[in-house]
Order: sequence, then structure tokens, then C-alpha cells
Amino acid sequence: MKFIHTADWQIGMKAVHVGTVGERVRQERLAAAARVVDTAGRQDADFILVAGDTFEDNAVDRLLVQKVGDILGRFDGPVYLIPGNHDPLVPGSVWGHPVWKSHENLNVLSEPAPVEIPGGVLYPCPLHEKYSPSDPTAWIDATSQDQIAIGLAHGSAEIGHELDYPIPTKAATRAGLDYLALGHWHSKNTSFTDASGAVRMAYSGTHETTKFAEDKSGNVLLIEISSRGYPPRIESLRTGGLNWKSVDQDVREAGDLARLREQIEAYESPEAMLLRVKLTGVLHPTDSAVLTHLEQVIQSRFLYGRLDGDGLCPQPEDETWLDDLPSGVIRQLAGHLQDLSDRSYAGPREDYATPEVATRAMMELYALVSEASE
Amino acid sequence: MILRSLRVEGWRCFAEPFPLGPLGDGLNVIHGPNGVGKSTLLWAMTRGLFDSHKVGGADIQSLLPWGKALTPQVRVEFEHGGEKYCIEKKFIKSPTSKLSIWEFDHYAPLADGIDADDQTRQMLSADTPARGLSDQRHWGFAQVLWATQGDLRIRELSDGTRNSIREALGGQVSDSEESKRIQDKIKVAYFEIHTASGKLKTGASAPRVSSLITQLEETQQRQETLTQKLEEFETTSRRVEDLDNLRSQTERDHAHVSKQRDRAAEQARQYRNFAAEGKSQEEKIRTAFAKLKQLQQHVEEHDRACRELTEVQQHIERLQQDGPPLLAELETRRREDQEAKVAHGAANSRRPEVAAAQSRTRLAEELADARRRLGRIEQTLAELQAVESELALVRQKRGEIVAPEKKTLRAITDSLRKREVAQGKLDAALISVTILPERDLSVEVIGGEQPGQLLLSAEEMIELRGAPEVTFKLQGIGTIRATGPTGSVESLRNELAAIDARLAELTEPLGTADLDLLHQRRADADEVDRRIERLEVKIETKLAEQDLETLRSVRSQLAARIDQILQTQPDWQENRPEVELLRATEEATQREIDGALEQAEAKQQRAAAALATSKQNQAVHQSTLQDAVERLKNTQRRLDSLQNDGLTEAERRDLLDERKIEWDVARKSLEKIETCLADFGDNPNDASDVLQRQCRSLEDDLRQFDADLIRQTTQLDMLGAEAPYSVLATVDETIGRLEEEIRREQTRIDAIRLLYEAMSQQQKQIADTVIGPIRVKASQTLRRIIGARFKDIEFSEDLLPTKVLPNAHDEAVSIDYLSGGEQEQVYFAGRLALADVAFRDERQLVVLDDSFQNTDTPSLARIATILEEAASRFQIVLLSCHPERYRHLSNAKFFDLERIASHASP
Repeated sequence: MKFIHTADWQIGMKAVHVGTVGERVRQERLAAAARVVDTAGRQDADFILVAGDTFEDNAVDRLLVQKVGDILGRFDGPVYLIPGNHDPLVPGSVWGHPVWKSHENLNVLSEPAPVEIPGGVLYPCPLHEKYSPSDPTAWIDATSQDQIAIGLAHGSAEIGHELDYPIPTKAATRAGLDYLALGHWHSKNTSFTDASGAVRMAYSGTHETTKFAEDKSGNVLLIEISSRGYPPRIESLRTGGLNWKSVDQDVREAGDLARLREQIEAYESPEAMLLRVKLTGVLHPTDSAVLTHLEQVIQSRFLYGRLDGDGLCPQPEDETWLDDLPSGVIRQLAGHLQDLSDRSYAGPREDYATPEVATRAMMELYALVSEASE
Repeated sequence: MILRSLRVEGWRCFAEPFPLGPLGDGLNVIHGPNGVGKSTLLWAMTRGLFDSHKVGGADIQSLLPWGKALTPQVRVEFEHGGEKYCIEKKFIKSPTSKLSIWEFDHYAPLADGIDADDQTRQMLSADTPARGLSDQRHWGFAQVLWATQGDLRIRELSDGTRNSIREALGGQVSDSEESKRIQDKIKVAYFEIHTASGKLKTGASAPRVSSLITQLEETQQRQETLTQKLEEFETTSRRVEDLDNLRSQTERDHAHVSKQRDRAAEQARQYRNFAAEGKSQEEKIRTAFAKLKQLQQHVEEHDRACRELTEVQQHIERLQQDGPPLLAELETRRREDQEAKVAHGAANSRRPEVAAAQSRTRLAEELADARRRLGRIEQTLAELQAVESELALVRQKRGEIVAPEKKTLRAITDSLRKREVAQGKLDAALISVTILPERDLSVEVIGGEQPGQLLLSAEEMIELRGAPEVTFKLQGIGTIRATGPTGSVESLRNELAAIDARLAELTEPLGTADLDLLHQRRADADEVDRRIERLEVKIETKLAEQDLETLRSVRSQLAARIDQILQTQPDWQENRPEVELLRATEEATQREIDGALEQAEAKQQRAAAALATSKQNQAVHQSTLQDAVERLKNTQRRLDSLQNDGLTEAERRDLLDERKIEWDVARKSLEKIETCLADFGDNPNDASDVLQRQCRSLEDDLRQFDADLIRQTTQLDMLGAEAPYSVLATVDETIGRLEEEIRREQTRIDAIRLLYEAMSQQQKQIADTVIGPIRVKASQTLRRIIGARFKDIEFSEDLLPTKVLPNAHDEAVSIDYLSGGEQEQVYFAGRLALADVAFRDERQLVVLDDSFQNTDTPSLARIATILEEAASRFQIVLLSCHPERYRHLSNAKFFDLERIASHASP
């Protein structure tokens, strides 16, 4: 038995903090869905399991439902889907759309009952509401099953303190399953092993990354099980199209920012990269222009780029900020702003005059000084 | 700069050359009356020092003396930087300018023309006006040091002067040009987005963040709408789910209730059958019982008729036997009644005897009463006669007493009192001469009350009286005349005479004027009057509201009645009748006759009653007999009718037994049916009806659920078709983008604001560094002039005084709100402080042209003292028309313009 395990496509999801490229992010999730089907075809998979949250919400555009149905309909083998907590099986849900009946290979499993699948038996755990403290796999008992028994569920492995749809980490062993395909976590997790060290329960993660700092996402799992009781062979295959990159840089030396810019300019495929750069550390007078340039590079070259320099501030004792300024009001002004940009400054401070604003004011002052000296 | 001398010619009121000087280093008071040219001299000096000699226009033409075409000329000698200079200028016609410097013992030319103008201005830090005459803005330090006529206020300081003052206060705070450009740029950046009041601009010039915030607010409204839509989608979904569940439950309930209803319907049918059978059986019982009852009544009626026939026959026989005795008794009663009536008539015939006895008794009573009343009347008449005799005697005695009436007595008493008073007044009005002769002598009274000759005995005093004088002649001595104040003796005499006449009138009828006697008579008369009154009361009491005639008439009537009675009863003339005896006889007769009558009447009544009873008994007997005969006939007819059923009595009793058996059978059947019905418990028809209604209600519910489900599902489909989540996703993304942009813009705006506000703060701190010393000195000077009313003077960044801080409260007050005198003093203090702080390194000329017009004398005296002290640091020129105010200043040098003009005249 060989099949593709995927989950959490979150089709139609919103992408709030990526500026104007939200629509592109959504389109990419459909494209990634097509790549999943293609991958399954290339790998001669017997079927595809989609372990919930195919859609971000039941109130997504019906056109998206049609598109997803059509994409999955292109697969040569059967596709088994369960409703997740984002798209539970309720009246008016995406699962009432006619597309699910227009393709013979599509099987939306609405009841927790064993289903015959190529080479074995599938134990689906569809969800009917968004939240529940119950283990959706609790009903499964495949211990007396002769054929390969596969579970399909959506919930939180009982590692943390999440209360929605808790699934014990030993659920597969307890239920007598050869493999339990899970959805809900967006990052791949194949760390659940049984007593023999075999991995019989895994999260495939989302097929396309949904946000920054979402490690191990953008993949599907190819599962191969030779026969009942044998450990599954698990392989992760890349399906994601976008690269969500986060860079946290602590700036110390005067040339650090320039070096960072060079490093960023060297990134490959910037048109498919969403880049978020967060800077902390010391701001040097000469870095002001470099910082502006770096922001321009980030914003213009990448699919989406954002530079967060709020963590940068001048060093309080750095006299170089004042050296080249004219004496009198301006120099005293710069000194005062330097004080305000220091987070440990204990003097009087207007509410709006945060260290970030003070740093920005210093940069504005330097820009005006440059203009005045031209 | 120190002014040494000034010379003008062809200049307004100074057509002739006018020299002023040399001026002292300290206080110089230039004085003269109004119009003598004090201010003209000040303006001539400023023209000479600050204006271009080539200046033209209407203003410079006004310098010319009226009606004269002269060349205005001015020559100023001054010291600056330790050197002595002289600037000479001519205006309008052939203008010239010449600057000289004192070298050794003469002035050597230093510059002429425009150079002379410029160098002079440069020395005094003055600015060149763009065109026309200079004004105070171009005067350099003189803006502070020189005050034109009546105007101590500095309206504006030129930048140069202001910077010069600041530089004088400390070079470390001065700004470079680059710094100022940057400050200007910060201001421009700030005011690109802010209004003068510090708010963000609005409208066309509003910063981008404003439009972003507007977009955000609009988008947030849309987000709210979409969120509601999404919630509605989920709510509707839940509602459909709930409806579906409810419908399934209702369907199950309907199936269950339908089964119960069918079972109940079958039971109800069986129950109805039993009930119908029961009703039929009840009808049979009622019919059998009716027949039985009817037959029983027939038999009983027949037996009763037979018994009744026998009884009536026996009764008639008994009545027929009772007839003869009743007739005999009736006859006896009739006879007894007749006898009783006769006895009653005999008793009734004795009634006149009683009336005669009563009449005699009444007459005897009347006679006794008449005699008694007659006796009393005669006694009263005798007593009255005695009292009237006494009354006549007392009345006679009263007639003999001549006593005044009380009113008359009061009038006499009053007249006597008045006479006494009148006599006293007359005595007082007469002149009195008292003579006590030592020997006998004769006196001839010539004038007095008693004129004539009088002889006086030795040691016997005599009094002579008269009015208006008393004149008498003493033999051998002379005529003595005594006079006194003249009075109205005659009127007093007349008054006394009138009173005497009145007295005579009152007392003459009484025969005496002795008041005591008259009072005694009055008392006697009163006593007799009271006695008469008592007697009259006694008579009235005796009469008891009757008059005497009536009493006598009654006496006559009583006597006549007594005679009349005695004539009817002659035996009473000899022997008076005894009323009590007569009354006893009368009562005895009455009782005897009444007793006889009563017995006769009782006997008569008893006889009548016995007769009536006997008659009634006879009538009842006859009637009873007739009734019994009639009843016998009726009973016979009823018995004939009852025996008309064609049955014998034995047959009739057999039939009765049969009907009893029929009735018992029917009752047993009914009991059996009732047992079956009781086994059902409650009526199963009720339960069947309830279940039927429940079924219908559940069917209605199902139909309603179906309709609701269709409606809600349709709504859910419509909401889903709107894809609220997908639309909301794009809206949320827009909001996220806008918030990010706003954050960035806001950070920039805050940064610009911080730049500007921090810069303003730095500027203010620097300004405070400059202004501080000026403020301290000015406040000290003001307190010396005014006292402690103001504790501080505030200066603007332009170094000009703007407000004062009163001691009474913490709110600074604009100088414009102070009185004219106070304004002068504040501006004076400000100028002096600026001069003190800015020009302490070199002695400078301070000019005050009639500057204290509104200041009161005490304040002016203190200002004079301050000026005297300032004269140690400055050369002070005071232009005033009141030199006496400064005469007490010992070191002042005075210049009388009138005197100078007179000496200067050719």
C-alpha cells in the first residue's frame, strides 16, 4: 500500500501581514494542491488521504471549493477527505457542494465507520464542530483487523495543553492501526514512535506554508506499508511554492547592515520569497543611509518584504552622532534625542516619544542635516 | 557711543544755527516748553547718525522749516570706542556727508559721502534702510537705548540687534547659519503636517496618514459588516442543524404517539359497545319496573276501596243514631237563654239611683268650696283696707316735706362751689391795704370797695380793698393811694352776681340756701318715699295680680252661689252636709247596682253560648251525615271501576308475581355489563382523543420544521454563496496593510513632532539663558519703582517685555492691560535692563524723550533716583518740559533750549 498523506490546505485563508500579496498567497495554495496531486501521480500512490482543514472556513468562496474538487478529481485513484475543525461537517459547509459528487474518486467521509480502501481498511474521524474536548480517534478498534488498517483524523497530539480534539500520542498503537494520518499541525511531525521505534502516527503539515516561522511546512508525506503490522516507510516530498523567510539580525558594528544587505541581495528566487527582516542592536550615524537602501531592496526585490528596524537605537555614549552637527540648538537637540532613544533613559518623556520614535527622529534629523549641507 | 554736542540749522523750528553741548558724561536734562524743539533735536541726531545724506522723498522734505527753502544741516560730535568723531550732514540741496575723527587738536576727515554714512552706521551697529528714512528698526543698539517722544515701548528688535544682544550675553549659545537652516527645515517639515496650534492638518493639505485612517475606518466598518455576515452564516448553519435534529426527534415522537393512538382507538370502540348495551338494558329495567309498579298500585287501590266502603257504611249508621238527643238539647238551651235576658233587664233598671247620689255629693262639695273661698276673700279685703289707711297717712307726711330734687341739689352745690371760686378770684383781683393803727384814728376811704369814713381802733387791723386803686385819707397824715396791676374786676363781679342770681333762683322755692339743711330734707323725703314704696308693694302682694274690684265681684258671686245651693237643699241650711258621708253612700249604691248587672250579663252570655253550640252541633251532624252518604256512593263507583279489568283477585296476584321476575332478570344483566365497563378504568375515548390531538400537533410541527428547514437552508445557501469568509479575508488583509502603513506614517509624524518640540524646547532653554539676566534686572528695577505689586517681568524670545506677573496670583498679565503709568515704568525697566546687560562694556548714550507723561510724581522721583544711579554707567539725555522734576539731582547738567536759542540768535 502506498499513499499520499496531506492535510491543512487551508484554502481561502487570509494573509494579513503580507501587504498586498494576500491573493497571491491564496492562489499559491491552489497551485500547491495541484502539485500534491501531481506528486501522488508521479509516486504511483494508491490513494490520497486529506486529514482535515482542506478549507480555512466553511464560508469560503464556492468557486474555491469547485477548484479544489476539480484538482483532486484529476487524480487517478481515490481521494479520502475528512472535515476538520476549520471546515467541520455542518449544514452549509463546503462539503455540501456538488463537486464532491461530480468526481467518482472523491470520498468525503462523514461518519466514523470503517471504509474499504485499496489494500486495506480506513478508519476516518470526521469532525462535526469547531471545538471539542473529545478524542476523535477513540472509536477506532482495529486490533482484530486482518488487513492494513489506516486511521485518518484531525486534532492535537497530547503534547501540549491544547484541549481541542486531543489525540493521545499512542493512539495508533492503542487502536491497532498501522498508520494514523493526522492533520491540524502545520509543520510536519514524524516523531511519534511506538515501542518498536516505528512511526505509526504523523502530521504531514500543510502543503504550502501559511506564515513566517512555520518550520517544516510545504510538504506531503508519502507512506508505504508492505503488509499488516509492518512499520510504515515515510518520505517527505516538497510541494510548497513560496518561501517564507524570517531574518533576525543583531547589528553591532558599523558595517553589519551593509553586510546584511549583501547577504539579502544574494537570496535566490526572490519573486517567490516573502521576507521579513527584524533588526535589533546599535544604530550608527553612518548606517542611516544604508538602512534606507536596505529597506528599498527588501521592498522592491521580493514578493513581499518588510524591514522592522524598531529594535535599532543609537548607543547613548556614542559621541559620533554629535560630532558633525552644528553647535547650539541642533547639537543639543540631537543629544536630547539620543537620550530619548535609550530605553533605559529615566528622564521626562512624552507618551508618544518612545525610543523607536526618538531613533526615527534622529534619522530624520540626519536626513535634514544632509539636505542642509548640500 | 557718547554724545558730545549737536548742532542743527535749517531744520524745522531751528531755521537758525542751534548748538547744544557740550554734554556731560552723566545725566543731561534738556528742557524747554512745548514746541521749542526738544524732539526735533533727537530726530536730527538720528538723521545725522543713521540716514543716508542722499535720502529723498516727502519725509525728508518735512524737515524744512515752514515756508523756508533752507538746507537742513546737522553736526553730531560723539565718542565711540575711545575715539571722538564728528559727523556732518546736509540734506535735500547739495547733500553732503562728512565723518571726521579727532586727532590731536582738530578733526581730521575720515570719510565722506556714502562711506561716511556707512561707517557711522557700522560703528553704531545700525542697518541701512532699503529706501527712505530710517526708523527705529534700523537704529542698531539705539533701538534699545533711545526712546522717542512718549514712547518707551520697543515694538520690534532687528535681528542684528537681537543677535548682538545675545552674543553679548554669551557666545556659547549662539547658532550658526547652518544650525538655523536645519531649524528652519525642521519647522517646514513640522508645519507641512501640523497647524500652528499643533494639530494635524486637515483637508487638502492633510498628511497621508489622515487619508489612511479614513480608509482604515471605512474598511473596519466593512469588516464589521462582514464579520456579522460570517456570524450569521454560522448561526444559520447551527439553526439548520438544530432544526434537523428537532425534526428527527419530532418524527420519532410522531411514530410513537401514532401507535398509542391506534391502540386507544380499539379500546374506545369496545367501550362504546358495552356502553350502548348497558343503556339498552337500563331501558328494559325501567319498562319492567313500570309495569310491576302499575299492577301493584291497582291491587292496593282495590283493597283500599273495599275497606273504605265498609267503614263508610258503619259511620252512617252511627250518625243516624245520634240525631234525636241533639234536637232535645237544642230546645233546652233556647229556654235558658230567654230566662237570662229577663234577669239582665231587671238589674239594668236601677241605674238612676246612682246618678241621684252622685249629683247630691257634687253639690255638697261645691258648697263647701264656695264657703272656703268666700272666707279667704273677705280676710284679704280687710287686710287691704288696713294697709291703704297707713299709706294715706304716709303720703300726707311726704307732702309736708319741702325737699329739693337731687338734680336741683347738685345744681345748688355746683353754684356754691363756682361762687367760692369767683369770690376767690375777685378777692385776688382787688388791691388790699392793711392798716394796724397804734392809736384810734379816722380814715376816709376815697376809692375802694367800701368808700366812706372809717374809724380805726388802736391795735385793730383793718384791710381796705378796691380796684383799680385804694385811696384813703388819714387824718393828719395825708391821702394814701395804693395801686396795683389793673385786672378785670368788673367782669369778676359780674360773674359772681350771675352765680348769686342762679343760687337765688334755685333756693328760693326751698325757702333756704343752707346746703346742709337742704341735704337733710332730701334725706327725709327719700326715707318717706321708700316707706310709701314698701306699702304699695304690700298691697300688690295681697291682691296677687288681681284688682280690688275683681276681688269684690268674686266675693258677690260666691255668696250668690251658696244661696242658690241652699235653696235646692233646704236641709243643708240647718245642718251643713258632710261631703265624705255623701260620697260613701254614693259609692255603696254604685257597687250594689254594678254587681247585680254583672251577674245578669254573665248568665245571659253563658246561655247564649250554650244555645249557639247546640245549634252548631245539630248543623254539623246533618252535614256529616250527608258527606258520609256521598262518600259511600263515590267509593262504590271507584270499586266498580277497579273491578272492571276482567280479572279475578287471584288472577291479579299471579300476574303481579310474573312481573316481579321480569324485573329481576333485567337488573342482573345490567350489573354484568357495568362490571365489564368498570374493567376499562377511565373512559378510553378521552385518551384516544388526546392522542389523536397529539398526533395532529406533531404533524403540524413536522410541517413547520420542513418549512423552516427549507427557509433556513435557502438562507444558508445564499449566505454561503456570498463567501463571507473569503471577502472578509481580503478586508482583513487590507486592514493589516493599512494599519502597518499608518504605523509607519504615525512613527514618522511622531518623529517630526518630537524633532520640532524638542527643538522648540532647546530654543526656549537658550532663550531663557539670554533673557534670564535681563528679566532679573528689569524686575528689580520695576519693584524699586512700583513696589512689590509685580514680582516678575516676562520677556519674549525676541527679548521684548510682554507680560508681568502680579504678586497676588500666578497668572501673568499682558502689559497692555496695565495703566499708562505702569506701562511706562515696565518698558523703562525693560530698556534699562537690556542696556545694562547688553552694553555693560562701554558707556552708551541713553535718550528718554518726555518718556514719563503718565507716571505719577512719587514714581517719577524714584525713577529719577534710578536714572541718577544709571548715570554712573550711561550717558543719559532726558528731554523734558518739566525740569523741576529733576532739579534735586545734584549731578545733572541742565540745558535750557529757550535760553540757548536766545543766545544763538544773531
